Amino acid sequence: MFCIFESGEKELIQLKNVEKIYQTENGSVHALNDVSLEINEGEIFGIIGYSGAGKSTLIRLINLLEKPTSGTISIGDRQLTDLSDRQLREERRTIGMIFQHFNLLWSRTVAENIAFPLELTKIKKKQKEKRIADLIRMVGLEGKESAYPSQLSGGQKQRVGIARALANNPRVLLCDEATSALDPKTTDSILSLLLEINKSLGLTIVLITHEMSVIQKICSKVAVLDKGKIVEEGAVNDVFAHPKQPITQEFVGAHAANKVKHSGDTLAISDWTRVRIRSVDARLIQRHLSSLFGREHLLVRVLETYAVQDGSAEETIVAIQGPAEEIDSALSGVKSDGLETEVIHAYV
Amino acid sequence: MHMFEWTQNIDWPSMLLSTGQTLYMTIISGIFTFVLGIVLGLVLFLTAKGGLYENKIVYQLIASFVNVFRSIPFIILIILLIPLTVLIIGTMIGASAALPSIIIGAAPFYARLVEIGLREVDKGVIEAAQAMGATRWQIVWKVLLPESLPSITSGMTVTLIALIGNTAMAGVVGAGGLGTIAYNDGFEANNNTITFIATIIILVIVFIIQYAGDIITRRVDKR
Repeated sequence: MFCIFESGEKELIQLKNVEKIYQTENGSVHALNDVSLEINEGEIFGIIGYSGAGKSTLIRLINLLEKPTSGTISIGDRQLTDLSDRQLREERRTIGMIFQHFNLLWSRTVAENIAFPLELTKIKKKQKEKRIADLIRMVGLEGKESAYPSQLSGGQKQRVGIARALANNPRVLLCDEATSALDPKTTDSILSLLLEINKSLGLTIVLITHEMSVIQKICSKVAVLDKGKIVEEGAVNDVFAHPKQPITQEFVGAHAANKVKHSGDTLAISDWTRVRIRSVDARLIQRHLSSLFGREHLLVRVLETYAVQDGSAEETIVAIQGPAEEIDSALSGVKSDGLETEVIHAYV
Repeated sequence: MHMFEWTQNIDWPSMLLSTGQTLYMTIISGIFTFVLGIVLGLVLFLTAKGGLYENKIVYQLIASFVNVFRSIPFIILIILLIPLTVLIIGTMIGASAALPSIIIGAAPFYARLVEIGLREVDKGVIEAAQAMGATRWQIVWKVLLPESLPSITSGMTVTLIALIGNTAMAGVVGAGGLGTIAYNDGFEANNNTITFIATIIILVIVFIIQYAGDIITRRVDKR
């Protein structure tokens, strides 16, 4: 006896040896190079990369807005690359997509924008109105039904985008830099909404971003894209803890540095050592923190504590001041108990 | 010598008739120009490079047609189109006879304005519609036309005003209207008052169109 799918995980989206070459006037550009991906049903899969890495081409291949030069793309048991135009249009109705700049019709109200995908299919008026009301409630835009996009904030516009994308009960939601045009607080609220939808509807979400914080907050798996190739892939926890490729380390490092920069404004940066402590056991972190605080020759401040991916692990960033050997011995104590520690140099 | 002799005879019934003829030419050719301009503008936009129905031959054909007829001075266009006018209308005298040349003069101009308006539609919105599984036809009706509506209405306002100028010029071929009365009964008969009053009436029509056009454009623009 053997088991094909571990712990009930079912593969939903599959990209096999996908190549994308653009022909331009100055020759051909190899946007994606032998990309293969498997995305399981119900997971939130993040693809991170710098601009120009091929992220937006990659996400557009999943609903075939971009046609691959070679390779195959399938969702469930349907091979998208084999479909006729008409079949593809029908398939696209089961794939929602949201965008960095929301791409709402300014000429339509919130309710009319959400109605758009429903108008493309033959659906009864009564049913349509009920569906719109449900969606508006789901994304928390009650009372804004007859507002025009120009009267909404960025976060509200993205909520309309999400409602519109979910209108036809898709199996997959593609997020094209969906939070990149939003401020940090709004980003958080949109990410929470996505996480909520993922949990309540079991919707598979694929997102692309250039921000590690987005990956860390909601993704379970991540792929790192660099110059058209996937250079690293795995569970977010693992990739975060042990980034192998230099580019991944850059993303993780920049992310940590950002955290410190945002939270450590009042501390003089130069004479404090910043350390990230990470564990799956929050109480273990707390025990070690109290032992750090107890050390006579060290000054210790907790800069920030945050949950990593829906609470499966926790990270605390502390700033320590004191003699170097004291710090070393304190940290080796923490390490010996199975916690991960990392001195952060990447800030300045 | 006085510029205007208010004692000069003004034939008000024929002034009214001329106003009616001008309005008739404006409204009828306006409707045709509107429809034809949108169709040509859409074809230009859709068949252009990277368009939804990219087609080099159709694009070149329509683009040349538009460019040629937009460049010919209207007074020459009227003369050139006399055979066509006689073919369609059966005569070349009267307000109806002016319609073909007015429409063919104005529609290409309007088509370009429509095309520019369509180009301003956010590419992202078109992409979103494609991602939702919209057909090309649905994209035209549900995205392109509604999203370019302010350009379509403001372009029509500009076109209508230019078109009124052409109705006056069409007076030369005996189209009637305020242009004819201003020239024949005013200038030729040395009756400046008639010319003056015809001008005022044309200005009033232009202002009303501009005003109404601005209101409509503002109302449809929700950006």
